[in-house]
Amino acid sequence: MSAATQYYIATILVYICVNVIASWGLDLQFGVTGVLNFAFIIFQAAGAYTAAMLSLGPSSASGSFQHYLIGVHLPFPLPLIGAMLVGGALSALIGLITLRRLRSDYQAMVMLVISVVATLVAESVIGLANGSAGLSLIPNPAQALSGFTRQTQTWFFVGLCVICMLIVGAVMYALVYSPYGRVLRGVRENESAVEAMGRNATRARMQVFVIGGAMAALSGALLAQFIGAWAPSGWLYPETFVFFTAVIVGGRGSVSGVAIGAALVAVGIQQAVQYMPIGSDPTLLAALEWIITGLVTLIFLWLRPQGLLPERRRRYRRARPARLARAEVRDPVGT
Amino acid sequence: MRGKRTFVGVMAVTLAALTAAACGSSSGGSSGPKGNLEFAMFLPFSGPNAAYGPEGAAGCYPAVREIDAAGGILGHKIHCTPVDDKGEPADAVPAANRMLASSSSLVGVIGTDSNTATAVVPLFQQAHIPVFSTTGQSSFDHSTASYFWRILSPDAAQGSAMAAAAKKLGITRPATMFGNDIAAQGSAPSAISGIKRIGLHPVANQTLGVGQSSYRSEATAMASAKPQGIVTEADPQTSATYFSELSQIGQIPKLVTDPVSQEPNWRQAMGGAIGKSLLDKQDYAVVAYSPPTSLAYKRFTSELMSSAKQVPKPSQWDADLYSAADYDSAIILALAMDAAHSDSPSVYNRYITKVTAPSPGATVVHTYAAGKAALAKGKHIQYVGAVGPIHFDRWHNAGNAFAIERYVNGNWKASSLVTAAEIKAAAG
Amino acid sequence: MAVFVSAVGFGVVTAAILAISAVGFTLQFSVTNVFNLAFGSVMTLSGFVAYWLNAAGLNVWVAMAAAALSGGLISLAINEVIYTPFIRHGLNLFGMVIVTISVAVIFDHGLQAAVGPTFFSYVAPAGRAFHFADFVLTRQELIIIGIALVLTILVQVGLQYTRVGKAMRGLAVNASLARACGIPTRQVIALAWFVSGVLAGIGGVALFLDTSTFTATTGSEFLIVIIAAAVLGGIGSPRGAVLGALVVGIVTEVGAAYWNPELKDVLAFGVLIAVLLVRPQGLFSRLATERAITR
Repeated sequence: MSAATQYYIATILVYICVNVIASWGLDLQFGVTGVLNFAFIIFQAAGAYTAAMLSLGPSSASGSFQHYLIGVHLPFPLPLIGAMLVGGALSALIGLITLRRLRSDYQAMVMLVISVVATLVAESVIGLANGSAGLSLIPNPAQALSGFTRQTQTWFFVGLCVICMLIVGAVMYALVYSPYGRVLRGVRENESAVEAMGRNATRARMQVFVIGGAMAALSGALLAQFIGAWAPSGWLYPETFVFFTAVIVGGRGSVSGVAIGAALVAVGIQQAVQYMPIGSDPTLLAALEWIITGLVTLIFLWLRPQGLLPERRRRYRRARPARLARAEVRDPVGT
Repeated sequence: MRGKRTFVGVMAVTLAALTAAACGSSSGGSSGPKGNLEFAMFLPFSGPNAAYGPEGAAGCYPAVREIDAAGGILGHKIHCTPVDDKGEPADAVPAANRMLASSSSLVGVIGTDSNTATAVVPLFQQAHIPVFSTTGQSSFDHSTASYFWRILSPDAAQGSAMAAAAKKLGITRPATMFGNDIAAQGSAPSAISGIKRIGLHPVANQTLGVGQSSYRSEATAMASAKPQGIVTEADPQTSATYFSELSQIGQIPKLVTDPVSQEPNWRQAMGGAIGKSLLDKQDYAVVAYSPPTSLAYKRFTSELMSSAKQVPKPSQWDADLYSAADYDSAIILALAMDAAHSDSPSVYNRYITKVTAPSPGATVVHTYAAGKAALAKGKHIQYVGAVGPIHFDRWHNAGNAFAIERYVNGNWKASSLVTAAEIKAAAG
Repeated sequence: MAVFVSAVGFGVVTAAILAISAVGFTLQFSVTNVFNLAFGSVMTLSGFVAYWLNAAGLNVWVAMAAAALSGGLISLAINEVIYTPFIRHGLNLFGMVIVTISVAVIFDHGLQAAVGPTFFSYVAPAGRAFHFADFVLTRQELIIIGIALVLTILVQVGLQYTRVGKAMRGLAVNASLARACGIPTRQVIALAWFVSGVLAGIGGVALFLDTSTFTATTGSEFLIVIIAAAVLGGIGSPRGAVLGALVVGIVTEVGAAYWNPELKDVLAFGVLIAVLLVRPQGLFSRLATERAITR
């Protein structure tokens, strides 16, 4: 296998991991708890910028051609952890504004507005993150491993991404299939019932908002360190909907389903369209990619709204002795 | 758990499928018939900068037409492949990696604009594929990437040239207006600081958010500042909206612009906004100087007109500096391969300087056919292109001489030159 | 002072364009409860219909009328062919939002592939300049302000005094009760979509006249500003949409004149968020809780 093919496969794997982590974050917020987070992409962007600033070093180095808020050169896991903290903090801030008093369709619209505000601020305030040009020369932590070839370093990074994905997956399983997960689903389905049981629905929404925001930030940090560059053109507000499509196609509220949805929608469609035999008109190909994403969403919402791997619903049976099984009148099983 | 096993299983299948697709030979717009060589045009063909793609195509296709007509390169024909970089780094990286993995006959990349250059140039460097980029970013002013080549002046020099030109035109009270997109922000800092450095008195410095529906308040502020001239770069949409409002509120003074104003979209949008005759009267474009009588330029335009099949409405690109630069890039790559007697990029990359640097006894050539013939006779050549002579410095940057051009009777004419000393005075 | 007066004057021009679209957006939302993010696509498509007619020789104002009709028809068609089947299928509010986004994505990128990345302009002379105190308005801008005034008054009068207007208001408040009273829900909803599409069409042409040049993607960010104006005024209230448009328009121009022009939209959005913190239902709305989809 040639070196170029190896890099391509490594790229695909990294993108799959990154998109799965991000889609899980949105799944926790929207799929499980029903928060329509239309500003999702900005949390990924915040994580990317933070990781960049925490690993780049001061802006005066390397010719001071880029301007950004702070620049420190921290060793390996610190930029990722810093990114997650910033993602969570930003989520808390935005959640305080939007999640408390607004009705949910207003929440969605305000989040959309906030997403646009973030883009405008990032492009206009040059000293923040270098404006429209964005940040570049972001170091990849695997490159600090001296003594290995570039190829091996890349595979190390792929390994890091896979490990992060597995950790986040474990966290998702723990949250979603637990009593806490039941509360979250209750907030989605029937908020008043949950409140009547004594749980605070708004507090639960804030919690998943923060956790999901941290996941999105982690995905952004990994992506930015892999690409080496990050600019506002890469996180415009429609990008959020790609993640929504991934969650819907995979199965709202399900963990493994959303992972598959992310791999298929965020990565699969984009790569598969390149191989379609409609000639090499790139304008048409690019438009087709988005059109297919839209059509896939519509088809899934129509035919299989529960998604590829639907959410598992626990069914509860009352315990009864086996020998009475036949004679017993079976209760209708609750969900 | 059942869910987890299914998850692992499906992931394994997906990965296997993708790997098989990547390893196997692919279609999707890459290599042509065996034995052909390929130049990739790695540019945005979609998204907000989708006009850059056809602009680059207007340089590549005429070049390969000429190359193939002169017998190709080392017996191989060559063709151009468009590769969409989607205008942003996160999508450009997989597109570049996919292109590198699937094209076995790729010998050079033309393009990479500012939006994606910093992310993808390292990939081409790693893959040992020469890339001729039209990005103006300062981050490449001291590039250490041996496979990176830039034949147009960086934005910083462009900005200084615009400042020097303003002084030359007698504009003692200039104003500046730049969009806040990447392209305009490249030349803005050096233009603004250059204006101050050479003793002019700026009356207004405006930065506009691109693509907004109204700039009336900004235009009012500009009109009340009464500048003698406006040093400006912004995308066609922003420029048209702003200047049409300025023309209603006040007057349009002299406009000191850059190569963007010679692009067909900008010209069309601004012509619609303030009227073609006023635009032609007031526009002073500060661009890389190449005499229009230059043979390379004539060759470029004639091949361009003959390439109507691949380049729709070719005449719109005949004054476009970036198309001319992409044309020169392809010719230089081809000549370097001939000089090196090899189509392996790691071998012929070094010859790029050899075919463009001036040296005593070198034959000056202006077309591929002439260069190929001279090389066949064992001579050294110096290719002087449609953008003028190309002298690469040790960072693989080639600076240009600058001229102030006016659009007169359907043609661009240089009205005066901006000397290197004047630019240096502005650059500091 | 002069600067402030002219900024307010310009704000009115922006508000006029915003108001046309915001009223359409909010009217449709109040009757159907579908948060329609494909509204911007209808605006853009109608703007291009006007362009094709204008390029073929038609006067731009006549082309605007044609765009209005096409906007209404497109909007109606989208509802009949796509939205209504999904609603009958049982999709709830949030699912419908995703449906509208998908429709927007398909339309926008299809249009871009069809017309390419070039820039277009209407053949529409700006006309005489009228000088008011400290600022200048062209004939074209005055016509647009006039159109906005007429349309918003028509909508308000229509809702208040006509039978079908009252039916719409009834549907907006309580759909099942309305149906029980014999209001033909399906037809009234269809009419709401048509009217909102007409307003989208006119708003799209007005926007493209304002920016003087446009591409297939010009309308997309404007949609967010329209939504901001509609939400600020209180979703579901056409009067609120007009007030929201005025606030947004004036704040952006005053912000551009006195503060940082690049961030003028941010200022308007900041005002929106501040208002919603204090009054979560918007300025005029009396609807404090959301509803289910109107069937």
